[in-house]
Amino acid sequence: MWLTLCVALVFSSKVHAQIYGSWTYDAPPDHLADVTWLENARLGTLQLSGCAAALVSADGLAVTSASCLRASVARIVGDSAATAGMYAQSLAGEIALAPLVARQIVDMTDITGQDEADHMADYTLEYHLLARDDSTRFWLYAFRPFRDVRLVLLPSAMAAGFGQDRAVFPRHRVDFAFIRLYAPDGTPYITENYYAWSEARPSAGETIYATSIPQYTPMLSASSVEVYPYNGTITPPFTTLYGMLDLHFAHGASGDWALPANWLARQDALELGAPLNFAVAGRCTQLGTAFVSQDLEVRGVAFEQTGIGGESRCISVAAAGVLTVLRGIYSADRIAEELELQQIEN
Amino acid sequence: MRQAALLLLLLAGCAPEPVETARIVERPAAMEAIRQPVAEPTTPDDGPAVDRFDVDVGRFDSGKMWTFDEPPLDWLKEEYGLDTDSAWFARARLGALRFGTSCSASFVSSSGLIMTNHHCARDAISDVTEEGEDLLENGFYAAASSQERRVKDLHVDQLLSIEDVTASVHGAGRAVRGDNERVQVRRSKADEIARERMRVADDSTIHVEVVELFSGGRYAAYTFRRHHDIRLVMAPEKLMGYFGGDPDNFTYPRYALDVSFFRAYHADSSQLAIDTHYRWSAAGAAVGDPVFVVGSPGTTNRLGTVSQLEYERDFELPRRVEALQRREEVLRPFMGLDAPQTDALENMYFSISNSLKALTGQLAGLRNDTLIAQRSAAEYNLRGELFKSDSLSSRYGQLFQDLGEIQLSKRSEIQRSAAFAFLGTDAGSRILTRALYGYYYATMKQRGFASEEELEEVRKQAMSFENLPADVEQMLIRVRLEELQQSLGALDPTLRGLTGGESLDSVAARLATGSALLDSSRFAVLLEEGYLSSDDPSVPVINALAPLFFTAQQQNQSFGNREELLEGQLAQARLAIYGSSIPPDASFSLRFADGVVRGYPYNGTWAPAFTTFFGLYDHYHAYRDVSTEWDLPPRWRLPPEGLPLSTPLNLVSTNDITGGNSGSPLLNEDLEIVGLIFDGNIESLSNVYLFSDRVARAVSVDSRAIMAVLRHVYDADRLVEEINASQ
Repeated sequence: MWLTLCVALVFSSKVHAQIYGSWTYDAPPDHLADVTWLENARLGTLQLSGCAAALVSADGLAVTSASCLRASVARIVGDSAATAGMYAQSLAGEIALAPLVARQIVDMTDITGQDEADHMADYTLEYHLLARDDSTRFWLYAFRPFRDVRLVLLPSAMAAGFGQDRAVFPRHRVDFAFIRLYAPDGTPYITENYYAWSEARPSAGETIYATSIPQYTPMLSASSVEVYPYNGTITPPFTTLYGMLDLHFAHGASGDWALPANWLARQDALELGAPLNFAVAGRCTQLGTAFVSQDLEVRGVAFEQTGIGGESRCISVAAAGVLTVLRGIYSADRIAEELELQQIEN
Repeated sequence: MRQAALLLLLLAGCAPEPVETARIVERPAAMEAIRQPVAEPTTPDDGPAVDRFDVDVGRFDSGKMWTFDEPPLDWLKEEYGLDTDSAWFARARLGALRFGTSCSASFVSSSGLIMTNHHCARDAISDVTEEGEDLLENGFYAAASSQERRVKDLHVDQLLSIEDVTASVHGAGRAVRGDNERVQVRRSKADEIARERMRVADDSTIHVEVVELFSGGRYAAYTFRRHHDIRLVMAPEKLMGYFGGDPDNFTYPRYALDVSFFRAYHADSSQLAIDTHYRWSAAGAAVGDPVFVVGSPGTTNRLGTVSQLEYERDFELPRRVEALQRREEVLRPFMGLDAPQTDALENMYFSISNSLKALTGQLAGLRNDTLIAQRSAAEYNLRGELFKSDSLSSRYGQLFQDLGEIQLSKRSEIQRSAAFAFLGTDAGSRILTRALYGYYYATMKQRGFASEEELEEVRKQAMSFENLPADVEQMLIRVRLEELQQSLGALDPTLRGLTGGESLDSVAARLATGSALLDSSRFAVLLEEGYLSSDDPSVPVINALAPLFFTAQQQNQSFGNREELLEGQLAQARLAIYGSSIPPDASFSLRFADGVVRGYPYNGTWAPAFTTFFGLYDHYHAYRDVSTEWDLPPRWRLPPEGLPLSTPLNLVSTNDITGGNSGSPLLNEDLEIVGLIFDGNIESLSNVYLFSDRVARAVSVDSRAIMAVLRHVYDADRLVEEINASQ
C-alpha cells in the first residue's frame, strides 16, 4: 500500500527533522560527532573547480558529474569529441586534464592562540586560515592539490543530458564521469581514503550524507531520499533505465529524447531495472557531490538542482545504475571491477 | 466490490458522491425561492481576479460531445479536411455500445466480440468466478467459444435511431402548475412514450429510452438494440488492468492494460453475424492524427449560469471536500495497520481519497482565474443577444436572475444540509447509515405504499455496507455529531433531544459500543423484528435525525426541480440564438467527440503522446519497495518472450470525454480502432465545467498494445484471428 509508505515517511521526517541539515566540519552536530567517521567522510571528498568529486578506489579513481568535466575535456580534445564522450580503455590511455586541479582537505586544526606558521610545515600542501565564532577561534585547513588529473570516462552529452529538459524529476540521465588522481611521479595516487560503491537500490526516506567544499570550507549535510506528491500521484524513490528507453520510444525516437545508437544496440547488456536517478530533499550543496550512506558507501552523485519556485530537491544519478551502464554500454569492465574491488585488479 | 462501484461512479461523472445513494442527499427542493439577503461567502477566492473582459470565449468552451442527430459535418471538414456523411456517422454509431449501466464499449468483430475496459468488467468478472478461482486476480481467457461465461444481469445497447419528442413531452407539462409537479408530469410522459414504442415494436431486443437533453430543453426517443446474453471472453489480471492503482488514477503518463473482451449472443445462444463492428487498425495512430471517440459520457456542467458555478465553487464543492477530509483524517491512522476489518477500512479510505482527488481537481478548476471569467464572458454575450430581440428578451430575460435567486436560497439552506453530507452512504459511520436505512425501511413498510420488490431493494442496499471496527465507528459518529452541532447550533432542540444532555463523546461511545448496528448480521435480525420498536441505542438518535434529513432532502429536491426547469428554458434561449451549434451537456447518451493525438506540457517538461511497455517496467521496478500498486502478475514480471517493449501502451488525445466514456473506442478517420479510452489526466478534471484541450487529455490503451498482448502474452490466437478476419 503506497499509503503505508506515506504514513511512514511523514512519521520519519518528523523524527529526523533535527538530524537533517548542513554543518561545517569544524562544528558538527552531536549525533555526527564520531571523529573517525567525520574524517573518513571528509577525506573521501575532493574539490574540483567549483564542483565536488568523490574518491572511490584505493588507486585514485574518483566520480563526479559529467557537467563538471565537459568543458575541461573539450579544452583538451575539442568540442565534438567531448560532446561524443570518451572512455580510456586502459590505464595508459587515461587523458591528462591539466590545468584542472583537484584538492583534498587533509587536515583541519583549531589553532586559536597559536602561531599558524608552526602548523604550515609541509610545502606540498596549501594552507587556509579561517576565522570562526566572530574571530574568536581560528582554524587552519590544509589542502593537498592534485595537479595531474586524468579523464577515465565521460558519457556523451546526449546520454548525460537526456531529454534536455531542465530541473524536473522524474528524470533519466546518465550524468556522471570518472577521473583519476595521479601522484607527481605519474603513477595512480594510492590512498586509504575512499568511499565504497553501493549496488543497493536507494530507498524512500533513507538518510544520506554529502560532503562538499564550497569556498574552501568543507560542509557536511544530511538529508533523505524523497518520495513526494506529483502530477496527481507520487514520485518513485528512483527511476530506472527502462524509463530511459520508454522516453526514447514514447517521444518517437527522435529529437531531445533520442538515445545514441549504441544504447539501443546494447540494451540487452544492461540491467534495465537498475535505479538510474533519485531525488534528495533540499538543495544540492555542490554538483558532483557524492551522496553516501551511513556506512560511507556511494549511493549516487548529485547532478542537478530542481524545484524552482517550489520545494528544493537535488537530483542524482544512482550508483547502481552507473555500474550497469559502465559494463553494458561502455564495456568499461576494468572500471566496474575497480569499483567492486575498491582497487585496480592486480 | 464497493471500491470498484465507486470507481465506476467516479468515472461516470458522479465524483461528488461516493455512492449513488448520496445523490438524493445532495440534490433536492421545492419551496418558493426565499428572497432574503444572505451573507457573502467568505472564501478568499470569491470574485475572480480575472474578469470577463480579459478572456476570450472559446468556440468549444461548451465541449464537443456531439449528438448523432446533429453531427458536426462542417466542423470535421473545416478542421480536418475530412469529408463525412450520414453513412459515415451511421457506421460510427452502430459500432458503439453502452455497456451495462455505467460504461461504454464497442463491437470489434463480425461475430459480436465486444471490447471495453477492465475496470468496467470487474463486477462481471466477479460474477462469473467459480468456487476456487480468483479471476479478478489471475485474469480469464476462454480458449474456445464454449468456455465463454455468461454474465448475469448484463446487457449492451446499440443505438439504432433518434427521434425528437420534445413537443410531446413539453406539451404534457404545459398545463401543470408547480415546479415539482411539472417535472414529474414530464418524466411520466417521457416514460410513457418509451413504453408505448417498445409495446409497438413487440421485440424483446428493442429498448427505448426518452433521453433528457439540455436539462429538459429537449427530449429525444433513443431506440436501442439490447443484447441480453453477454459472455466474458478475456480479461487480464487486475494488476495489469489497474496498473498504478489508486495513486495513478486520473493521471498520465500511464501504463495500464485496462481492457477486457465479451461477446454478445442471440437470445437462442446462436452467434451474431454483423457488419456494423469497427475494424481494427494494426498501424495505430500517430502524433497529430485526428481521432474520434464514440461513447456515453455521464455528466458535465457547462451550460448553467455563472451564479450556479459560483455556488458550486463557494459552497457545494468546499462543503463536500471538507466533509470527506474529516473522514479521511479519521481513517488515516488506521492505514497499514494489521487491524480488524482492514480491507473495509482501506476500501473506504481509498474511495474517499479518490473522491477527494476528483473533487479537489474540479474545485481547483473553478478557482482558477480564467474558468469563471470565460463562463461570464459567454453569459454576457448570450444576454446581449437576448436583449436585441424584444420577444426573446421578454421570454427569457428573467432567467438569469431567477437562477441567481435559487442559489441564494440554496445558500440559506446549506448550513442545515451540511450536517447531512454523505449520510446514508459508505463514506461514514455504518451504524448511522444502517439506522437511516432501518428508519426508511420501517417507514415505507408502515405506510404501505411500497411494493415488496421496492422493500427488498432497500433491504438489499441496507445490507450492502461492510462492517467497521467499533473504535473507527466511534470517531466517525463523533465527526457527524460535531457537524450537526456546528450546523444546527449547540442549543438546537433536535440536537439536545438526541444527546439527552450527554457530551458528544459519550453519545458516540455509547452508540459504537452498544448498538447492534455495528454488525450487519445483527442489523438484519433487527430489521426483520422491527428496528424502530427495538431498544437499540441508535433508535432515539435516528428518530431525531431522520425527519430533519428527509426534510432537507425534499427541500433540495425542490430547488433542483426548479433549477432544472429554468435550465431547460436557458437551453431554449441558447438554441434560439445560436442554433444547434452547441452540444448538450453529457447525459449518459451516445456522443461523438473529435480530437487529435497530442502530448502536452507537464511537470516542467513534455508528456509524450504515447507510453510504451518499457515504461511499465520502469514503474514496476521503481515503486517495488514502496508500494504494491505497481506490482506485476507473475507471468509479467520478466518481459514476455516475443513482446517488443517499445510497443505503444497508452496514448493521449484531445477528445472531450468524462466518466461514462470508459470503454469507448478511439477511432481513426476510417473508423478503425486505434485505442480504448479508460481515463482522463489530472488536468482534465475541471473540464466538467468548461472544455479545454490545452493540457486536458483523454487517456487510451493503444490498439497495438492490445493486439500484441493477446498474441504474445495471453496466447489468445483465437481472438487475434477473429479480429484480423473481421477487416
